[in-house]
Formats: sequence, structure tokens, C-alpha cells
Amino acid sequence: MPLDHTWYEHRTLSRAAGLCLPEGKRVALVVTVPMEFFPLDSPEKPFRPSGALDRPYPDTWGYANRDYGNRVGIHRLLRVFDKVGIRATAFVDAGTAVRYPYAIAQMAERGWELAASGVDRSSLHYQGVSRAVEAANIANAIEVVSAVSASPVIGWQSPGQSESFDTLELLATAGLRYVADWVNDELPYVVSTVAGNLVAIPTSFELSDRNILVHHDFTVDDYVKQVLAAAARLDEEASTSSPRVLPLTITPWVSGYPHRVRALTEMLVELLENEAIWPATCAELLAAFKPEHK
Amino acid sequence: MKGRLLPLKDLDRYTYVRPDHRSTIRWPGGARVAVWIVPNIEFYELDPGGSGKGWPRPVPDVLNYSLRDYGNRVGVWRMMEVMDAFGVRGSVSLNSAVCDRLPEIVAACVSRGWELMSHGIYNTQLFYGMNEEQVGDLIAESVRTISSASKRPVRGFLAPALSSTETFLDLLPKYGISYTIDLVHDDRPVPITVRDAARLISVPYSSEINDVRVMGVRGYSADDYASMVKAAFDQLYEEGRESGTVLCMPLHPFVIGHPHRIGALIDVLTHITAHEHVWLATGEEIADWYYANAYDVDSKAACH
Repeated sequence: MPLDHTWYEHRTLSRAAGLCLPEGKRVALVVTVPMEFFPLDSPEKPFRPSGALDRPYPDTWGYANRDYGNRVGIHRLLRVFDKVGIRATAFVDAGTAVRYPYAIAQMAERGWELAASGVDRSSLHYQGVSRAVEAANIANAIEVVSAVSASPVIGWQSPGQSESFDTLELLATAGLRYVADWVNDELPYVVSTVAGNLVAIPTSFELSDRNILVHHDFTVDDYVKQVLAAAARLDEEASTSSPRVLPLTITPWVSGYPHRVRALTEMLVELLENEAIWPATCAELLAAFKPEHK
Repeated sequence: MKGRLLPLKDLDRYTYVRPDHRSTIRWPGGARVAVWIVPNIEFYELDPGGSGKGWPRPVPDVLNYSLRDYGNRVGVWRMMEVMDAFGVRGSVSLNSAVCDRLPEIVAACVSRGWELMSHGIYNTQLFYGMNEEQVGDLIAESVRTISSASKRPVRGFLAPALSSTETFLDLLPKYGISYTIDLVHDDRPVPITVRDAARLISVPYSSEINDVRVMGVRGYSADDYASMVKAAFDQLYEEGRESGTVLCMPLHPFVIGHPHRIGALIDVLTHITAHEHVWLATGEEIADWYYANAYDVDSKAACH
């Protein structure tokens, strides 16, 4: 057995198939926007997810900085996406859905996809949480986002992209259709659980704004260069091989700041000048994925 | 901690107001953006003692202590020279111990008409672990020391080294503070909810284009820093057409005051002062304008 689990089989990118993009399109640009609530009392254990408050309690400063994203930054990003014509997929945790309903409603009004993303950033999915609690958190997260979504909620990203051994099965049990936690591919693939199948939607932490701009402290110009380089390479490969997916995570408390938003706008404009790029939500990508087509 | 039952999940110090329900800000003279510069003039104790903030290396941490001391011996004077050349004033976030120990620096600020805010007593004496009475005493002493040096009331506050307790904001109005810059959640002033219906507002500070964060901690070059600040200015200037915005430039003499970085300050100030419709303000001026023109409307704005 090549892999040490049964969720999926090993598959190299060269053998990937099943993604059928619209005529003339080669690269799906999937923009995801995490809407994250970082409680003031977030625990240090079992680990601090990306973006977690890291000063002693009460971390007023960190709390306010993250809150800036949800109260100011997201509205700046909405303008940018309106201007360039992108509908994103928002991974909305229940904490933000309850606290910032206007921002979430603005997304729904624009035809963005709303997907579930846990209860909040201090309710992590990991092996130390009981199966019952994890199932309840998943149900709660889906229920809260479904209440504000015009279409059924079918997708999931765990807080901090952290899972327990049960998470995938519980997501399938809850009726979800895709998960965006795993960063191991550039094309969708099927994940099997005893409760049914899910699709793993490609996501990239390496190319995310938070990883490049916050964790690695690159300039926004260097971030833009890396994204454009990725797009150029994927488009080149897709010209002779199967289509590719370029996943971009655009985070309100990272890219929504005044000093970054202009470069972000110019980057998206440049990406979309390539007519082979197809901006899609995760749900639209899922609809274009037909694993039975070899 | 007094009155505390469970750790707070939410800060609960201000309401969320959706963007289209916010009052429109029109700064004096039709300015689109209020720019204010906050030099942090600080004193770090060589040996802070058990309750103080420790140095990364054993006391005496010569390298780290002397870097901060460089700010007071060298950097602050270089920074003042540049700010003088552009005719811009500072709103100093001041550790009050500087008044007693290095009065020459405080006198230089006062003679320039700079505003002095309280940044606690020492940047090595933090709020963490203090009870409310101790926090109150610290605020009171810092305000008393600074106002006797400046002969003016102290209006603004930034907690020492951004430390915090659940209730320190409640204590500020009692000591004459009318604005806090501890919250970095918005690009405009915002009413802050405090005990006994006292009045307090937040004036925007910055975690993002703060020289010590950008160049000291995160390791960006001076050119990168200048690009970030200019980009932030351009965006807030543009958005200020609709409603006035605030750009805060936090500075630390031990960071920006180095000869290899001071050019970035010149670059940024050249850019900003080349624009019309910019209000080069102090924190107190922004706060006073806000109280007089927008506080009442904003403090009544409904949640959501």
C-alpha cells in the first residue's frame, strides 16, 4: 500500500484527469477569503493556528488587528473584487457570521459562495476533541452559515486547516461535498470515507497571502511576483497537459490593509488579462470536476 | 482579577458599524486624510526586576539595552532634525521616566510644540499581572510627571509596550485621558465604551506601518518600509474623498533614527507633504475635532 491511510490513493499530477474547464480556459483561478474570528481568550494548546493572537491575555492589540480585517479590510476587498469581476468563496466561521452579518450579506448579494469553516479560531479540529464535540461543531458551523447563504452550503475549510482522524468522515456525514484543507495537489481529487466521498479542492498555503506576507515577511511586490510566476507556469503546463488550478487565499486582515490593496488589485487585473484564466468559486470548480471522465 | 468571571471572548469596547451606516468625516480645510506622527520615546530599564519585562539575554543585556539607548542619545535628534525640516510635529508616546532621567529630550519636544501622550512609566514595567489599583497608580504617576514637564494636560494614552488588562481602558478617563491609541481596529476615530458612561475614543495607531514592527521585528528594508507607508497614504488619501481617514506613522528613534534608515523618513515625508488636502495633525487635534463633530452621532450608531 503506497500510502499509510485510506482517504485517497496516490496519484501523480501527470495522471490527473476529470477537470473540464469551459471552452478556451486552461487555469481555474479559485480565490478563497477566510472570515475568521479569533477570540480574545484563545488557548495556546494544542497549537496556535495561523493568525492566532500571540501576546499575553488580554491581547487587545492582536484582537483589534484581526478585527480590522473583518470590519474594514473585507469591505476594501469587496470593492477590489467588484472592480476586477471576481466572485470569491468565503470560508466563514460561525463566529464571524454572527458578529459581522453585514459583511457576509454583502458577499451573498454578490453571488459569492459561502462555505463553512468551523465555530471560530479557538475551536480547532484535532485528535484531542471528542467525536461528539467535533460533530456538533461541524453541525453548528454549517447551520450558522446556511442561515445566511442563498445556496446550500457544500464546502468546508477547518480552522487553521487542522483535522482529526474523524474530520473527513464527519464532514461527509454532515452532507458536505468538498474540503479545502489539504495542500497536496493542483487538481481536485476524490477523498473516500466510510460515510461517503468528498472532493479535495486544491488549496495552497505556500502561496497564501498570510504565509508570504505575514509568516515569511515578504513585500507585497514579492508576493505579487510569486503569484504571477505561478500563474505563468501553470498556464504553460496546461497548454500541453490537463488544466490546472491556481488557488489564492486572500485574507482580510492581511491584504485588506491600505498599504497592500493597490498591489493586490493590479495583480488581479494582470491575472485576468490572460483569457485562459477562468475565475471560479470552489463550487463552480467542483461542478467542473467529473472524476468519471478519464 | 477583580470582577472577572470568565476570560473574555470579545473585546466589547466598541460596536460594529457597517460601512454604509458610518458618519461622514470632513476634516478641517477639506483635508482627505489626517496624518499624525507618533514618535515613541521610551526608557527601558537595565534591570527591570522580577515583575518587569525581561530582556532576551541575561542582565545586563548590553546589546539590546544599548540599542534602545541609541534612540535617546542619537536617533531622536536625527529624527527631530528631519521632522523640523518638513515642519511636521510629533505626538509623542512617552515613557514618563524620560522626563526625570532625560529632561533634555522632553524639553526639545515641548519647545517644538509637540504633544506628549502617556506611554506608561517605563517600557519595561508592563500591565500584565497588575491589579486595577496598581494599573491606576501607574497611569496616574505617568500623567502627573508628563503634565508637569509639559505644563499641559495629557490627553492621549498608549499602554507600555502594548501590554493590557481587561479594565485598563476603564481607568483612563479618570486621569484626564480622552483618547487611547491601543486599538488598531479602524482607519477613523471610534467611540470606546468604558465604565460609568465616561467618554473615551480610539484614535488610529498602526500595527502595520510601525517602524519597529516593519524594520525592527519583521526585517524589511528601509526602502520597503517607505514603499509601504507611501502606499498606505495613497490608499487612504484616495478613500478620503468619500470620508476622512487617518494615517498614523508610529516611529521609534532607535529604529528610524539610524543613518541607514533616516532617508526612508525623508522619502515618506516628501511624498506626503507634496499633496494638498492633507491635515498634518496631532493626536489631540484629531480627538478634539472628532469629539466636536462626530462623537455624538457615532456613539449613537446602532450595532449592525
